[in-house]
This record gives sequence, C-alpha cells and structure tokens, in this order.
Amino acid sequence: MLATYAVRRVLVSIPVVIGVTTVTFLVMKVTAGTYVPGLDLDPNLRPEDVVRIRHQLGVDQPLYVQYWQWVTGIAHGDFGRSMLDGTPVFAHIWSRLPATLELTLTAILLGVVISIPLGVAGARQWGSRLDHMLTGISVAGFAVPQFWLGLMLILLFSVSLKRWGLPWLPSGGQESTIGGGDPLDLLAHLVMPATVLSFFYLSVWSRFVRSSTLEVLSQDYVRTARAKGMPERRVLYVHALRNSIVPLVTLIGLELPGLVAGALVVEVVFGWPGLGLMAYERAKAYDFTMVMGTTTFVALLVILGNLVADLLYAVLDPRIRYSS
Amino acid sequence: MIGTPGIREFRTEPALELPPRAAESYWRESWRRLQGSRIAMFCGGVILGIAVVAICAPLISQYVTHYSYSAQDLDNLFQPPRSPHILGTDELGRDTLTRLVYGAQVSLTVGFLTVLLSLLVGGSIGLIAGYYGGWLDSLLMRLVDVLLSIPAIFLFILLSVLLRPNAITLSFIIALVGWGNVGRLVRAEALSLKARDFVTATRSIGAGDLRLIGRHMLPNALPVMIVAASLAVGQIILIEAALSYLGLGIQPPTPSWGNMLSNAQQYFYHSAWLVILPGVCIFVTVLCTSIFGNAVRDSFDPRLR
Repeated sequence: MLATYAVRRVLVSIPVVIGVTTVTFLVMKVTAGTYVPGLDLDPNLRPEDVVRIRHQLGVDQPLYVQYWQWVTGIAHGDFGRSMLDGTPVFAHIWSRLPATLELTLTAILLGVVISIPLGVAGARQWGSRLDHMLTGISVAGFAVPQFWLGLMLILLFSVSLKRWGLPWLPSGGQESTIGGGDPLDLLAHLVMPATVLSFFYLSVWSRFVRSSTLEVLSQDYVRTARAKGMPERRVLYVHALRNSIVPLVTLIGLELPGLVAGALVVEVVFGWPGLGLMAYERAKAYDFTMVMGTTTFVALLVILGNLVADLLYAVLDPRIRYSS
Repeated sequence: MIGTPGIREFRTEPALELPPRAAESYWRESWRRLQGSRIAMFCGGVILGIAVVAICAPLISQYVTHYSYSAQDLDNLFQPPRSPHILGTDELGRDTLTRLVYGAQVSLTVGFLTVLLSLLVGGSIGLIAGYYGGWLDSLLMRLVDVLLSIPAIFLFILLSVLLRPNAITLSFIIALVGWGNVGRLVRAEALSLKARDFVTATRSIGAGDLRLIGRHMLPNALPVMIVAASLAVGQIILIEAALSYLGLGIQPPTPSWGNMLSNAQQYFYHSAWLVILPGVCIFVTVLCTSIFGNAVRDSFDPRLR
C-alpha cells in the first residue's frame, strides 16, 4: 500500500532530522564555541554589557541547555537569532529561499530535459561514433570545475560579447536594478547560473539514462513489442522510455545535497541572491547562528526532497511499495 | 604401426596441450586488465607526471623558473607569458608557472590524503557496522545518513572559517565530512563477507573479533575500497579547488589553483590567461584521475567480472 510505505518512509526520516540538528549544533559548538563576533573588539562595551549580551544570546548556558533550546526552537520553526543584528534567522532564510529554489529547480529541469534525449540517443546507437563522442563529452563534463565554468561563461557572454558589440548576458544578480523585473530580464539573468549548475549533472545523468535505457532495451517485453511489429519509435518512446527514466528520480534525490552545495558556489560566482550566498557572506562575518540555522534548514530541505523522490518513485513503480 | 608397409600413416598430432598456467592472483590479473586500456594508461602517466612535477616544485622553483611562489615584483604586474616569466605574472607580480606548480602540490596532496583518510575512517566504521550488526549497525548507518543529508559545503564553511586550514588540515576536514559513501560501501561488503564460509571457519577455530576483522575481512574488502577511492580523487580535487576559491580552503600566499582563480577573477578583462590557466590545470588533472579511476574500477571491481 502506498500509504503504509509513505508512513514508514516518513518515520525513518525522523531520526535523521534529529541527527541533522545535533550534528550541526555540535559542529558549530566545536569550531566556534561561545565566540560572538565583534564582542571583544568594541572598546565601548563595558564588562557588564558583554555579560548581558552573552546572556541574551544564550551562549553562557551549559551545552546541553543550549542544545535543548536549539532543538525545541527548530520544532517551532525558530532557527535562532543572528549574532550580528539579532533578527530571526528564519526570516532571512524565508526571504532568500525562493531565489535558491528557482535556481536549483531550473537546473534540475535543464538537466533532465537535456540528459534524457542524450542518453537515449547514446543507447540507441550504442557503440557508434555518436555514442563514443557523447560518452567523451560526459566524462569531460564531469571534470570541469563549476566555478571556473561560470567564470569562463561570464568571460564569453558578458565581457567578450559586449566588447564585440553583440547582445550580451548580464554577469550577476537575479534581475537588473534599473528597468528590470520583466520575464525576459529574469530569464537573461537565470540562463548562465542554471546552465553552470546543471552542467555537471547533465554528464552524470545522461550516462545513467544511457545505461538504464540499454538495460531496458534488452528486456523481454521490448522484444515482444518489436515482434508484434510495433514501430521502433513507439517501442522506444512509449514503452522503453517510461521504464528507463524512473530510476532517474531516485538518482536526482540522491544528488540533492550536491545540487544544493553546487548552488552555493554558483550563487557566489554570479552574485545570485539565494540561501547559499547568504550563508557564505554571513560565515565570513562570523555570524555562526545564521550559518547554523541555514545549514539545518537546507539539510531539512534535502531530507524532504529525498522523501518526495522516494514517494514519487513508489508512485511510478508499484513494485517498490510491496518489497520493503 | 609405423614402418609397416601398406598401412597409411596418419601423422596424428598429439592432443593440443597448453602448458599449465599458474593461477593468477587477483591483483596481478586486475593490473593486467588495467594495462589493456591505452587511454587509462595514458591518463595514469599524465597523473604520474603531474605528481612528479608537484613533488619537484621547490626544485623547479629554484632551477627552472628562478622565482619563488610568493616573491612579489610590483614593477611587473600582469605580464603576459614571455621570458623570463614563462607563463607571465599575476596581480602582485608573482610568477604564474611557479604558483601553478605549487598549486599542483596542494591539489594532489589534498586529493590523495583525503581519500586515504576517508578510507581509514569509512573503512573501519563500515567493517565494524557490518560485522557486529544490530543496534551498532543501525546507529552508525543513521549517522552516515545524517552526514550525507547535510550538503557538505555548509559543513565546510562552518569548519573552515575559523580554522584557516592548510593542505593537511583541509584533508582532515574533507575526510571527516565525506567518509559516508565509503562507509556504506564497506558495510555492504562486510555484510556479504560475514556470510561466507571462511568467516565461520575462522571463528570456529577460535579467532577473536579483532583478528577476524583485521586479518580476514579487511583484505577481502580492499577491492571495494579501491574502487570507491579511485572515483573519489577527482571529485575531492574539485572540492578543494572550490573551497580555496571561496576563501575557505588554502589561504594566500600559499598558491592553490582555486585561490589563484579567485584572486584573478577581477582582472580577467585584461589578463584572461590568469583565469584560464589554473582552470585548465584543474580540468586536466580531474579528467585524468576520473578516466584512470573509471578504468581502475572496471579492472578491479570483483562484481564486474
């Protein structure tokens, strides 16, 4: 039953959620301890002010008390307060989340839309020159550093095209500050970051689709369909395809942490105002509670994404619901 | 009979007998299979060459380029590639070629050391979890799930921003965050090994747990660990480059291909080669390690036979 599978899957996630909050808390306490940025440097602060501020932030409590406050806070949606300006972390996260979602989901979409035809083409003409070329490009795409690809694209599309007087793409941000905001402008800003983020996964996923399609094409039901005289196109796109791309759902779920991590780097390169850029800037400013809250939130998003991917897989492939 | 007249002599060849071939060990056979792939051998050679260059970085700095990696020459900023600076200078007048060579040292050190450390940590935890099973196994695998759910780069940010790592510390950080995959693979292998007869036999003659794990299960789990390691080196070099680019990895003035890129990116209007060169180095190194790693996996993976 789908419902029992779903319930079981959610129950298994709960310890992982608790574990995530614990690990993030531990990592922060081990590295940052009770360090509060700026507290030691301000000459105007009297010792009693320092004590008061530290008490307000809660960093003078014993570790288990802090941990308990942290975990119960998360359960209420309170991810702490920024060490720099005292504003709630969740408000910042919520305001930056749409940008990161836009970037990540577009990258996933791009990756899926491009890797499926490439993988299927490689499988159909298995062993041909096209197949070898596609495999070669995939292996190369696996090795390109994302941030360097971003810089190279900026060099080509923003700097060189502008220099040559051709229409050019903006090199950063989500929309133009002057006269921007229309869909075309948003698209022009989105194109390069999304392409860079999806590039790595294109290569991985197209190889996966290729091997998955090859496996499906050797199954008996494909042979039956061909024996019935079904045109090859129909065999491929109606019968084989829907079986070969279903495992891709699970693969995307597994790659979610890497996608979000890659989104951080891409956001920094392109100045894309998302969660990753916020976490990075706040980390450099030693605002640890903000980084801790963002890390936990992002991890929870990843767990949710994995859950959705597994449930989607169970919907698409009924065998899963009955096996475990 | 030979010699008897009237009987046609059929010269029968003796039955075809091949000389008896000694059974090959797993290692020798895998190595032979690896040598069969010319592309893989070429990539392996390239990696070896980069490693040699990296080890000889101080020698190259002294005898080939005659510059140290941090010597600034403020009269000669942004020189294009030409003598005496073979690949030009950067934004502080430092020789680019020397810095690239030292960057190779950093990248390869981090790559291999991290893989070694994560094999140590992930391998031990995987073997222990697989061997003992029960609540210990569940606990350790939940821990792996947790570590794999948190996007690694956020943990790196938390760990690196105060620690200001060098190559060795960075390797420890990346290994600490990334041993999860190896742990899972080794645990699966340990589970399947546990069911094999030699484990029962060894235990029945009184071998203790530690001896069983260390002397019997570990060598049999090595192929899986090698496969996991060979594919990881390239990705770890990419991670190190990204972290150094963000300023969370190797700190200047120690050159890393990543921090060379972040220093140069504001100047690529007029000195594009400063941005292109380190990226090409990263790309070539990761490409060769990936191809070689794939070939190692194809040759050494016992499940692909």
